[in-house]
Amino acid sequence: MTATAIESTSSTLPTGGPRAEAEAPRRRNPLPKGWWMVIPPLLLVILAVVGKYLVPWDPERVAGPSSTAPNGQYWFGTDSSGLDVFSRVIVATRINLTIALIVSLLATSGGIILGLGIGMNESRRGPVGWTARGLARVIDLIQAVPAVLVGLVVVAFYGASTTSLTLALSVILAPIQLRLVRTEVLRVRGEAYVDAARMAGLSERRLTVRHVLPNSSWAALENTSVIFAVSVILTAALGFIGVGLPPPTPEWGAMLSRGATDAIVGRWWSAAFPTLALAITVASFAGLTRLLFHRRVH
Amino acid sequence: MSPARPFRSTRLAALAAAAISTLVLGACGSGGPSGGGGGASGNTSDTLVEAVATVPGGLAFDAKPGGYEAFEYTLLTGATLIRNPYVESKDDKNALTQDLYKFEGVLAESYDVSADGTVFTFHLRKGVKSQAGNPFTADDVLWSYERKWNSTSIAKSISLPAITDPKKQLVKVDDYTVTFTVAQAGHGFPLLSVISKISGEIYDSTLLKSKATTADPYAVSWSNENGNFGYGPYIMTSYKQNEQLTFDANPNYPLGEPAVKHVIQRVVPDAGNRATLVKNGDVDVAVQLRPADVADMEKADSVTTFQPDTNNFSWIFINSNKAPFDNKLVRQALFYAVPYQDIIDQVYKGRAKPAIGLLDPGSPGYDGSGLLTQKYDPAKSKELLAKAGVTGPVKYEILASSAVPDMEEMAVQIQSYAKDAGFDVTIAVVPPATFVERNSSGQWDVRIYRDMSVSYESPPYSLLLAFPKDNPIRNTAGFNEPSYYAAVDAGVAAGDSLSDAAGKQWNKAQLIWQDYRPQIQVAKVEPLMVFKKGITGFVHRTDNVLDFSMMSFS
Repeated sequence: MTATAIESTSSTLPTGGPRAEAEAPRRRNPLPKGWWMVIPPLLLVILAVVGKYLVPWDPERVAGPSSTAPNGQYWFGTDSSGLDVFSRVIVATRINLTIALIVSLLATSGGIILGLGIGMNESRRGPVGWTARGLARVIDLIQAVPAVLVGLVVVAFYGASTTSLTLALSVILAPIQLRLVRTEVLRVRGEAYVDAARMAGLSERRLTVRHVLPNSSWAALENTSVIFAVSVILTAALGFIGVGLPPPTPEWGAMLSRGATDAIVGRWWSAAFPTLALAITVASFAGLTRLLFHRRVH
Repeated sequence: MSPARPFRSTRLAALAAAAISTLVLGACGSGGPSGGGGGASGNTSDTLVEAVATVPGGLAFDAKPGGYEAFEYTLLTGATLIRNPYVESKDDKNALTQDLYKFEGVLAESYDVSADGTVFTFHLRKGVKSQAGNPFTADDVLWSYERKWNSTSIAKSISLPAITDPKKQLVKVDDYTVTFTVAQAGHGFPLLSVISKISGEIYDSTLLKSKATTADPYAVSWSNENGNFGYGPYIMTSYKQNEQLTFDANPNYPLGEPAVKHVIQRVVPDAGNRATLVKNGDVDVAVQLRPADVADMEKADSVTTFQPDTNNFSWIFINSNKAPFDNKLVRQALFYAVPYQDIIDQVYKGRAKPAIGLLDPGSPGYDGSGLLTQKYDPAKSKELLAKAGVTGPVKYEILASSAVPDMEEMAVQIQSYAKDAGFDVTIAVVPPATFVERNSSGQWDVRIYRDMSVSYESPPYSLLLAFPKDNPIRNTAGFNEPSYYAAVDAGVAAGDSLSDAAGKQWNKAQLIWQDYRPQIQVAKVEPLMVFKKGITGFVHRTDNVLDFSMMSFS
């Protein structure tokens, strides 16, 4: 580029240069920042709903020769039983998302309600305070028991089904949310604005709902993505120890744990694709959680 | 106010979490070589490293530890009076197999049979010493059987009907002569057959008596924990829970000190890891591999795989105590609803053969006439279901143990083809303990597993193994047909178990079994052991474990 050309280009720059641009009024974007983060989870939900109508093979019936590498006919290959990995990965979206979403909802809402109740009443005197403190210790106790063991007991009582797994995982994961909320409640209730609201004559119930709840539940809400991911992993772990969903139900965790041995000897596909699906799903919902629940200024 | 963190880090964190979780799960699933030795065999010319799934849960057969490792331990450290000689396999020149119809001495030098075929006199070897250094005598033989009959040992039930009361049947003639007397000549071959297998192991009674207590009068618990109480080819030198066992060759072994002087059994829980280790030459031998992995290694230059005929059966048992299988026609229909060839091709990758009937088709006097060939025939299955008055698909659950991975694959094959044959199948793959518990409590419709019938060359043994008379604990399928037992009794009464006359009775029994269909034989699976190139001496035994005393480095 010649010097003349440079001069010519410079002359086309808006008057005032970058500083003037910065000072110009910003155009208002009608969509919230990071709106596109809604797209991947939305696509996953759509896949969960319609996926089973799109797959080329029945995910629970032998589709072809076992342990076939990915090819034009079996896009993700077949597993050691001859089941089509692509069809199973797609159809598993429904089961995994259903369990993970319901568990996230139940564990988080349960954790928030109990955490709020315990946190607000822990320092009280009398039976209410004793109960709150007692419950806090019980939660500590539940958390001391390995999560898989709790799941094992619940599934042993109610059998292995989507409902019992969801219930078991909610029981296991709710204390995590509860403790986060309780810790925040203990902090928030000592804030000056809470005292001010109290002095202004706001009832304890309204104070809790209007001021403490919104300012103490953010941690649990942000943590929902972790709960989501952990519930998928625990579903797989329970499947691994023989109390998960019965085979050959398509479920990413079970596919992964069954495919791990194949991967060691070079048949990587039956574990790799569910792993990828799991990673994409967790990342997608982490983004959505971030978009929806990242800490707002009170 | 806390500043909003950039999204990128959250997303990366989530991806990292997923990846870590995946790795954790993978690790849970696969395990890895333990014992600090990694995969390196570190073998010298006289040390052989074997990758095993686990260490034995116990060291005494009489304490019923079960599993591959326990059987292999018994063979490594124990010895019997006689054994089947090893001969070259007809199916694989690289493999030896047992000649199940001949016997040679181990602790016994020889044996004689009385003219009426009921008294077996064993002449014991002199100068044999146990692993503890105690001399072997006739007292050890008698005391061993006394212990088997006064403990929880399965030897008692699997020695029937040849041995019913060792106190009366076993007699010490002198320090080096023992007689076994059977009720009729027809029990003769079954007697030799059963005492030549690992349940006939003879113990060092001098050692065990010294370890006996009031609570443990036969030192079963002591021997289960400490081992080394016999006369076998190896002496255990260390036992590290979940890590490894080591053995040294026994210089006093009656058949001569083994060529391989040291054996290390290293725990590698995952079958895929075991396969990779032997393929890469990091261990000398890998056992309990998955059929598909063995098939993958068939053409590898670094290893040797084996294809002799086996008695490693895939079985389907049907609970005839429970509807809908209390109807004989429904059980018969199930026989036609199993995709046998697909199981052989897909699950076993061709490394299995069809199994027909309960007996060894190669045995003298064998009569297999009338036995049905396995065939998936959905039309025939539906026809039988219609005859049974069943409308709509018959729902049932397949129970399988998670300890045997090919069982889940077999169950999926059965499930996939069942619908076309009029059945609607669900699968329950449960941990081994749950499998045993559900089996013994009758909480199952159909159960599948892979196992062997150790003395399957002995017709009464094989016919009664899963269906003993008046024994609901072992006869969980509930097959108690009197005409079946009458045919078995008639076979025994015919004299020589391997005669044509007896063969006709065994055939009769098998046809009754087939008609009542409490069980379906699916396949005989080829050996799931692989040797590194340069290791020789593979023997297929009916207990399906390795005999290290036959192995050597070429």
